[in-house]
Amino acid sequence: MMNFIQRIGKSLMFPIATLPAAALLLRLGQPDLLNIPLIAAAGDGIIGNLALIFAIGIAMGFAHDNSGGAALAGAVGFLVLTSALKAVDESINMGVFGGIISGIVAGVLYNRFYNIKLPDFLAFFGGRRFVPIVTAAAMTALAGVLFFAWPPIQSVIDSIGNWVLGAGTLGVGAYGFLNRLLIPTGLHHVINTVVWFDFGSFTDASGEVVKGEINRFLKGDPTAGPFLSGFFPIMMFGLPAACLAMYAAAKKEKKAIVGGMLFSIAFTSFLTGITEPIEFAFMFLSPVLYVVHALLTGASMIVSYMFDVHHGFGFSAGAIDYVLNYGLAQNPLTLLVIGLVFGVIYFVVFYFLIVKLDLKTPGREDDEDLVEDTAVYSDDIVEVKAYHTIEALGGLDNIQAIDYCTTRLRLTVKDSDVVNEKELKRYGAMGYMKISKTNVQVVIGTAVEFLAEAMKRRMTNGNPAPKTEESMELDTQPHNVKALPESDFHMPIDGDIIDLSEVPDDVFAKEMMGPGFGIMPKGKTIHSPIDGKVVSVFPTNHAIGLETDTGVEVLIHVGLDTVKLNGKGFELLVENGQLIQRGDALLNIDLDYIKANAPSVVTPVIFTNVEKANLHILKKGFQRKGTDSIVKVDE
Amino acid sequence: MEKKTYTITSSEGLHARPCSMLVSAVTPFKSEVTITYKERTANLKSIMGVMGMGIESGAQVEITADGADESEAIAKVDDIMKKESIGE
Repeated sequence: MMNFIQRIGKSLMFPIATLPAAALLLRLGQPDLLNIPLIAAAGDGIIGNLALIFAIGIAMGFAHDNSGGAALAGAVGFLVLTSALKAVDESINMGVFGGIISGIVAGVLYNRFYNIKLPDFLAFFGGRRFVPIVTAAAMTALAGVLFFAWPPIQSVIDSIGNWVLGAGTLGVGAYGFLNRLLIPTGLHHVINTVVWFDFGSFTDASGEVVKGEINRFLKGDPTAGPFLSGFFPIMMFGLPAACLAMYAAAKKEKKAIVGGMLFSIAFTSFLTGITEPIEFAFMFLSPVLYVVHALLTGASMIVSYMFDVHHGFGFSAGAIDYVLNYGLAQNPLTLLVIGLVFGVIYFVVFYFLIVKLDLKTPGREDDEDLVEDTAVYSDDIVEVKAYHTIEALGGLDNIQAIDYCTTRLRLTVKDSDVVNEKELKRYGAMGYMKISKTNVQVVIGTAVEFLAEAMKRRMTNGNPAPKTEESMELDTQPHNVKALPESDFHMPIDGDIIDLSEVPDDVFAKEMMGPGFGIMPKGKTIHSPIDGKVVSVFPTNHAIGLETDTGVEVLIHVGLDTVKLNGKGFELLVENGQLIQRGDALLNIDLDYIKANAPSVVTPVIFTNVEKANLHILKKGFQRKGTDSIVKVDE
Repeated sequence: MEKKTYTITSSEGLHARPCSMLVSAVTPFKSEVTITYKERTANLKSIMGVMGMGIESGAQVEITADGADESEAIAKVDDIMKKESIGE
C-alpha cells in the first residue's frame, strides 16, 4: 500500500515541474499587482486545471512503459468523471482528488489491458486503444457511485466548517489542520467556502454588506482575520523551511537534481502563497510528513490567534499579499516572528523525521522501492533468465513492448541489430528470429509465460541484477510438453479438410506415419501452420517437415507419389533449420502441374510423433488459410 | 552394439512408405536404433528425423542398435529391409 501511494507521489513530480512558473504568472497578473489578465489567465490555465494535469501525469507515471496511451486514458477518465458528475449534481466538487483517482484508474487499467486482443472485427479497438475506452467506462461507473457517496461526505465537512466558526481557539486550530489535511481529497474547498466567503457579516463605510473572512478583511473589518493570519507563517516560512530540510536530507548524488526543484517551489510558496507544488511533492511520498504539516498549520493558526494577529489575503498567504495588505493588518510584525519560529520548527521536525524514519521525500527514493507490493522477488532461475534476456535484447532502453504466445517472446524493440543472439541462447532461448528492424521473436518453450511476466515486472523496476547468480546451475534445457493448443495451429493453405482414411494411399490412410488429416488444396502456397522450425526438407521439395517450439512434428506432404516429380512443380522458400512463425510462406506449388502428373494433389498433414489419442481434429470441410482451431494436440 | 550396412534399393529412396515401415518396426525395441548416412546420424524411431536425411535410392546407410535387445532389433530391420524391398 505504501509503495502504491509513493508511486502516486513519484508520478506527480512530472506535472509539478510546470507549477512554479504558472503560479508566478497567476499571481503577478492579478488586478492588485500588474493587472494583466493575459498573464494571470495563462498561469491559471495550469493552476486551474491541476486536476486534469495530475490525471494525465499519474496515468503516465503508473503505466509500466510511461505510454502516451495511458496519459490519454487519464485525461479521458477525468473528463468523463467530471462531466458525468456535473450532469447529475452541480454541487459535487472533487477538485484535485478527481484527477488523482482518474490517473490511478487509467494507469492501472493500462497495465492490465495494453496488450489485450479483441476479435478480428474489433481489432482496431484492441491493445492500447482499448485503454481509454475501458477507462471511460470505469469512470462512468465510478461517477454513479460517487453521485451517492460524495454528497454525504461533503455535508459532513460542511457541518465541521460551521462548527469551527463558533469554537474559538480550538475551532481556529481545527480549521487550519483540516484545511491542509483535506487538500488531497479536494474537500478543503468545501470548508474554505464556508469560512472565507460566508462567515460573519460586516457593513463598511459606504454601507455595503459583505460576508466571509476574506471579503470582510479586505473591506476593513477589524474582527476579520483569525482564519487567515495563521497561513502566513506556514506558506512564507514553514513550507520553504520544509523544502530546505528535504534538500538537506536528500542523497548526495541527487541533491543537484532536487535542489533546483525544491528551491523554486519554496520560492513560489514564499512569494505567492501557492503551496500545492510543495505539498504534492511530499504528501504521497511520505504521508506522515503531510499529517505533521497539517498539525503545524493548525498550531500556527492558534498561535497567531492568541497573539491577536489580524492579517489576510485576497489571493493566498504569500509575501505579495503580506505586503499589499500590510496597511489593513493588525500586529503584522508579530506574524513575521511567528513565521521565523515556525520555519525553525519545520526544518528541525522535517529533517529529524525524514532521517529517523527514512522517509522517501524527493531525492531519497530508492528506485527498487517502487515495485508492486505483491511481487516477491525471489532470485530464482526465472529472475536470472529474465535479467539476462533483457540485457541480451539490448536492455530496458531497447525494449518497447513485451508480448508472448505459447512458446515465444514477441518483442517490439527500437533496434533489432543490438540484440545479442548468443547471449539469449546462453540463458535458455531455443531460437531467435528477427522479423524486422523493430520486431523480434525469441523461442523459449512453454515456460515463456513465467519469463515474460518476470521481464514485464523488471521493465518497471530498472532490471536489477539478481544476487545469487554465481552459485546457480543454469538449467537451459527446455521443458517442453509435446502439446499444441488449438490457437497455435493455423490452416496452411485454402482447402477442404478430409479424413486421413479417405486419402488413397495406405501409408497415410492407415496412419503408418502417424495421425493427421488431409487437405484438398486450393491455393498456390503452403504457409507455416505453426511457430517452430523447419526440420526436414526433401531433395525433391514435395514434402516439408516442421517441428513446433513445443516439439510436435508436423509433416506436410503435397500430393501422392509426388516424390517421382523430382522437384518439378515445387518451389521451396525456406531452408533446413530455419525458424518460422505461423503464416510464413514455405513452399510454392503448381497445382495444375501436380494434378496432371501425379495420382492426387491431396496433401496429408501428419503429426509424426503424436499418439492418435492425443490428436483432435476440430474442423472439417473448406477452411481458409490462417484459420485456427483446426487441430489440437494434448500432452 | 550391433551394426549393419545396407544399400537402399527402394526406388523413392527412404521416403514416406519405407521410412514409416522401418520406424514402426524398430519403435517397440528398447535399444537405441540409429541410421547413419553421409556422416549424419538420426534416430530410426523418428519418422521426421529419418525422412529429413533425404536418403535416396542407391545410398549406403549404416543401421546401429545399442541396448538389451540390439540383436533382435537388427534382425527385425534386416527382415523389413528384405521383405519390403527397401534395401539389401
